[in-house]
Amino acid sequence: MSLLKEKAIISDYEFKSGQPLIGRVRTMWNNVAARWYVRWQFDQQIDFNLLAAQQIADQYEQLVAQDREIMALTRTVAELERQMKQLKHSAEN
Amino acid sequence: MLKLAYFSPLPPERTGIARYSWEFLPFLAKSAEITLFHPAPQTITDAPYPIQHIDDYSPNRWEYDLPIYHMGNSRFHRDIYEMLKQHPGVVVLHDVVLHHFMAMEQYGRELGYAVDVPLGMDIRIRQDERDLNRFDLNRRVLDLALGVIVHSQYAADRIAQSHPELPVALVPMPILAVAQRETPAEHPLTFGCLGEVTPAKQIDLALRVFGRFHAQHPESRFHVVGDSAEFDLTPVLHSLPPATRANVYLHGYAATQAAFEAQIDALDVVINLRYPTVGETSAAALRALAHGKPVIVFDHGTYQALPDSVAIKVPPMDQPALLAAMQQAADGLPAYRNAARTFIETHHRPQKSAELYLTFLQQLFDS
Repeated sequence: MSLLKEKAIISDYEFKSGQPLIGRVRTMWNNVAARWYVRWQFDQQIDFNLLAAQQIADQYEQLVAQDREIMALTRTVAELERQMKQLKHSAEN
Repeated sequence: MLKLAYFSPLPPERTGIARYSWEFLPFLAKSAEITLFHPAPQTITDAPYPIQHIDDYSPNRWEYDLPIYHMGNSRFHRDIYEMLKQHPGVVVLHDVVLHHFMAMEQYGRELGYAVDVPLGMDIRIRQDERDLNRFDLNRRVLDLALGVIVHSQYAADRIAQSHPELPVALVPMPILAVAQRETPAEHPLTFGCLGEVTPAKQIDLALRVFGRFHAQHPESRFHVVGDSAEFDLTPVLHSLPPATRANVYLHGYAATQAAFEAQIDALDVVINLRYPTVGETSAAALRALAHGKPVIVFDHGTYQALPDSVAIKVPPMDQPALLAAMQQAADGLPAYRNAARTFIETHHRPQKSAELYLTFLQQLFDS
């Protein structure tokens, strides 16, 4: 779950280039053209991702709890079947 | 007499548990009525007991007092596990750690069930091989079981930690005694590994150490007896000096029990390493002892219980210690041979194991 929550937080891309100044120029242009607009969408996406991750975890926990209950009930049924067979044996002998 | 529904891999399935059941059933059947249930009964020839399709158990289960499910890590346990989930019964747990098996099943569901949910999700996402042995993933099997039969104190203790209320019987693994055969007076000292070649058996490590041993004892040999489809030994073989490589023999899976026994007979010392261990009791090691062959094992898990008179224990993955153990085994062969046979005949008699099985099953049924 910690990994899912970690992956839910997406991060900004930092431009890099082997050529001097190219990466910095692209970052500057990005600051003018896109950063503040995209940041708003970014934050919305992170909020959604965290919510979805939490919902998945909650549902997973519910499924596991149900699974454990079903197994406990299945064992109880098996135990009752054994007792019935044992009673039948006793009655026959 | 108890009527038992018996679920186990059976020959010709290539797993030690199939052979185990085949050899043990005649002893169990002396005092119990056995019906075998199998997903492909038409493939089991010469079954000495009634055999039915595994799906027939559900509608006919009232005819049987108890179902017995053999659980281990191979794919041959898939249908058995499905039936255990529907109709819980007594489990013979051959491996304490079932993570490898569960990784083949509905892995996410099994992880969620067995460990806590956030951790289960992390393991699923990371897919880290090391986790396969860190987490037992036997919780569902033990939660369902009406009782458990194990073959080692180690396994019994591990179960008692997680399921203290669960009835557990410690039954020595049944091993057929082997008639003593004449060992040729003059023959090259022969080491060997038995059973399916897997990474955990560390046969590559054993071969590397054998390379060093062989440099001092050029007459010595090494035989690998078992299917190597899962793990390729070619790279390690190519890393050995040509003279050593010429004395390493890969035999593949022994198709018949007689062939397997003959291949054990050809060995002097069996190297039976497991790292990591899944809490298994090694039938291969015990069979080797029945043939009067000392075994070299890693000093952990169930192997710690083997007496020093029959087994040389070395710290896991310690190559110098393994080399010294090979020399120690070679130096003390006659004494080890006698002690090994006596140990199996005293502690692993199938008749005694059958009695312990049936006493436990009767107690469970009557409780």
